[in-house]
Amino acid sequence: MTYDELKTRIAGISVTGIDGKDVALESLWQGRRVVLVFLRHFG
Amino acid sequence: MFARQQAAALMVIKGRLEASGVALIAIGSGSPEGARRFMDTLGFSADMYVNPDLSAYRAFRLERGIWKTLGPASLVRGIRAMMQGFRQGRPDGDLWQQGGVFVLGPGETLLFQHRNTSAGDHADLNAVLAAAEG
Repeated sequence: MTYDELKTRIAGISVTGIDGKDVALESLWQGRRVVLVFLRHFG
Repeated sequence: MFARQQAAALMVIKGRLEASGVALIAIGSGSPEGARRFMDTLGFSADMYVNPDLSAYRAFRLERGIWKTLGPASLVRGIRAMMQGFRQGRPDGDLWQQGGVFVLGPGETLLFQHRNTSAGDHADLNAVLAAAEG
């Protein structure tokens, strides 16, 4: 997957912090490099 | 159990990521309360988010399916994980959703992508480090 394809797919998607606040998914790496890990269920 | 195994491995490389100015962000499919419990129980520290509707998982084209969790490859990996001391805790989230690892940013940059083909098919963390530190 290229970033251009990803950018289209993540448009409008948000995730929720453990404080309950929603943030735009793409904002997570706008100003920094990140390792983004998708976990399975918490268990 | 596999999330616990992955969390433990990520804690091993977190120091190197921080030294390179790379943030570790985790997204789970369960509740914020489950995320907090997971972090407290395992000593897992990351910027943690949840996505119970799985929209972010779908956007990143991550795998989902019952046999991706219960298939033979996952069962073998499960036995190995148990032999390493990992145990299944109380599930919170989607049982059939698989995970993945991506290195992104700053901005519109995608440096690494790994999608678990089945449960326990974790990314090579040396490759993750190479991408993150490069």
